[in-house]
Amino acid sequence: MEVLVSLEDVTKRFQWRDVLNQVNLSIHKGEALAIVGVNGSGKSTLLRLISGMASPTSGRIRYLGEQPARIGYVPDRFPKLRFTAFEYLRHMGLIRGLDQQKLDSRIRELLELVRLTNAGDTQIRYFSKGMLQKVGLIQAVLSEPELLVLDEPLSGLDEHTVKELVELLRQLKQQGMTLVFACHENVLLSSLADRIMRVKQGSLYVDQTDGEWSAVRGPVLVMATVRIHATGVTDYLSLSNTKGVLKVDGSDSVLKLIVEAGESDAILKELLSKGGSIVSLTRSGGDL
Amino acid sequence: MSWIRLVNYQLLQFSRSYRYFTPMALYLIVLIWIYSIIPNPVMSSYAATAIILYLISSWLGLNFYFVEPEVQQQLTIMHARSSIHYYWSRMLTAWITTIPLSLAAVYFPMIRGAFKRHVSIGESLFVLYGHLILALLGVVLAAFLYEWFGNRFISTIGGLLLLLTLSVCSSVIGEALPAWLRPLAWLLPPAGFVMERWNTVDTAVEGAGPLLWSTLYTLVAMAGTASFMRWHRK
Repeated sequence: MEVLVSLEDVTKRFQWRDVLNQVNLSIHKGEALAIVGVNGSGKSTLLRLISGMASPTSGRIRYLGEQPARIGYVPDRFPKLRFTAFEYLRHMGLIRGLDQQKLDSRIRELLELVRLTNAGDTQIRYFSKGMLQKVGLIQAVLSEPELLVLDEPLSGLDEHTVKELVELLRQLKQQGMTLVFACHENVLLSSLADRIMRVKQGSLYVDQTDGEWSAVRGPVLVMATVRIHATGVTDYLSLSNTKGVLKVDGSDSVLKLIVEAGESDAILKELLSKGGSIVSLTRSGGDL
Repeated sequence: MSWIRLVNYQLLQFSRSYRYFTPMALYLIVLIWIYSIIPNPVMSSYAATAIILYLISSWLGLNFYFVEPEVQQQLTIMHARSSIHYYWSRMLTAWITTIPLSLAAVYFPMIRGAFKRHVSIGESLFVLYGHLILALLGVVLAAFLYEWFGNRFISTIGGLLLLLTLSVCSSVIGEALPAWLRPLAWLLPPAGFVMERWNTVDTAVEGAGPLLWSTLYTLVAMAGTASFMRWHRK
C-alpha cells in the first residue's frame, strides 16, 4: 500500500513539555486511520502536524503524494461566522484558487449532499452544531483533497446527524480519499476505521508499518497487570518483541503490558506458562 | 489573485462585524472638532491628525484582527496555502480600512478651507503619504501585539497602549536617556519623530526626513511581524 504521509521521529514541544515524543507514523493512501486518546493526550497536535498546520520541533514530515499536498482539515468546533454557507464556501474556494463556475456547482452539489441547500442563504452564526460541522466538512472537501484530516468530527452531534456524517465519510473513503480522524465514538471507529492508533503520554501505539495495517480493526487494546517472579523480569521484558505486544513496563514483581486483543490469549498463556499470575485485565475498547 | 481574494474576504468579514464603527466615527468627530476653528496652521494641524490617526489605526487594526476566529484563521491559511501571504494580507487589509480616514484627514480641511494658506496638490499628496504610513505603522504594531498576546484582549490592549505611548514620546525618552543609551530611542516606532518634525516646519517637503525613516521602519516591522506570526503559530 502506497504511503501518502510519513512522520519520522516527530517531536512537538510546547513550553518545555513534549506533547508528542519521537512519533513515527505512515499514513497509507486510501486508508481511514483513527486517532484515539484521552483529552489533552496530543491527538489534535498530531492532526495539526499531519495537516501541515504546525511544524514539528524535531523530526520530519514527508508528503509523498501530489505536490503541493492537497489536504483538507475539519476542526472540532467550526466557528460561527457572519457569512452565509454559500458565501463562505465560495470565499474559501476562491482563496484556494478554484475556478468560480466549477466552484459554484461543487458547492451546490455538496450542500445538497449534506441537505443544507435550504440553509445556504442563512448566516453561519445561526447554524446548529450539526449544521456547523457539515459546513466545516464541505470547506475541507471543496478541492477534493487526497488527505482529509478531521478533529472530533462527531463530537456533540445528535444521532441523526452522526449517521449522516458517517455515511458521508464512508462515501468519501469509497472515492479513494485518505481519512485521518480523532474521535471517541465507537460508531465511527467500527464503521470506518481501518486502523486505530492511540496517543498516550506523547507516544503513539499500534503503528503497523509492516503492511498488515488493514488487518487491524476496531478498539482492540488489552491492558494487563501481571505479578511475576522478581528474578525473571528480564525474561518477561523480552516479550516486547512478541507479535501483538505494544508496550511492556516491568518493575520488581509487577509487569504492565498493552497488547492487541487479537493476540492477547496467546500472550497471556505464555505469561502464565512462565509462572506469572494475572492481577488485572482491562479492555480499552469501551473508552475509545 | 489569491491576494485580492484574501483581502476581499477579510474586508467583507470586517465590514459585517461593525467593529470599525467606533474608531472610525471617533476619528471623524476629532477631525471636525480640530477644524471647527478657522484658520489653522497647515503642518502642525496635519501633525496632530497624523498622530491621532496612528493611534486610531492601531485600535482599528486590533479590532480587525480579533474578528476572524482563530480556528477560521487556520482554515483560511490552509486554503491560501501560504501562511506568509495570509499574514501580509491581514496587515494590508487592516491598513486598507484606514485609507478613508487618511483621505478625510488630508482633504477635509482643504475642502473646508480651514488652513491659513493654500496647500498645493503635490503637498497634499506628500502629507497623505505621511498619514498612510503612520496608519500602516499603527496596524502593524497592533498585529504584532495581537500575535504576541494571542486571545488575551486586555493584555493586548495594555501592551499596545504602552507601545503607542512610548512611540509618541520617543524623542522625549531619547533626551531623558544618558547619551550612550540614546540610540535605543531609534528602536521605538518613529511616530513621535514625524509629529515633532511636522510641528516645527512650514512646508511638507521639510518634514521628509522622519517620513523616510518611518517608511523603512514600517516595512521592516511588517516583514518582521509576518515572520514572527509564522514562527509563533507553527
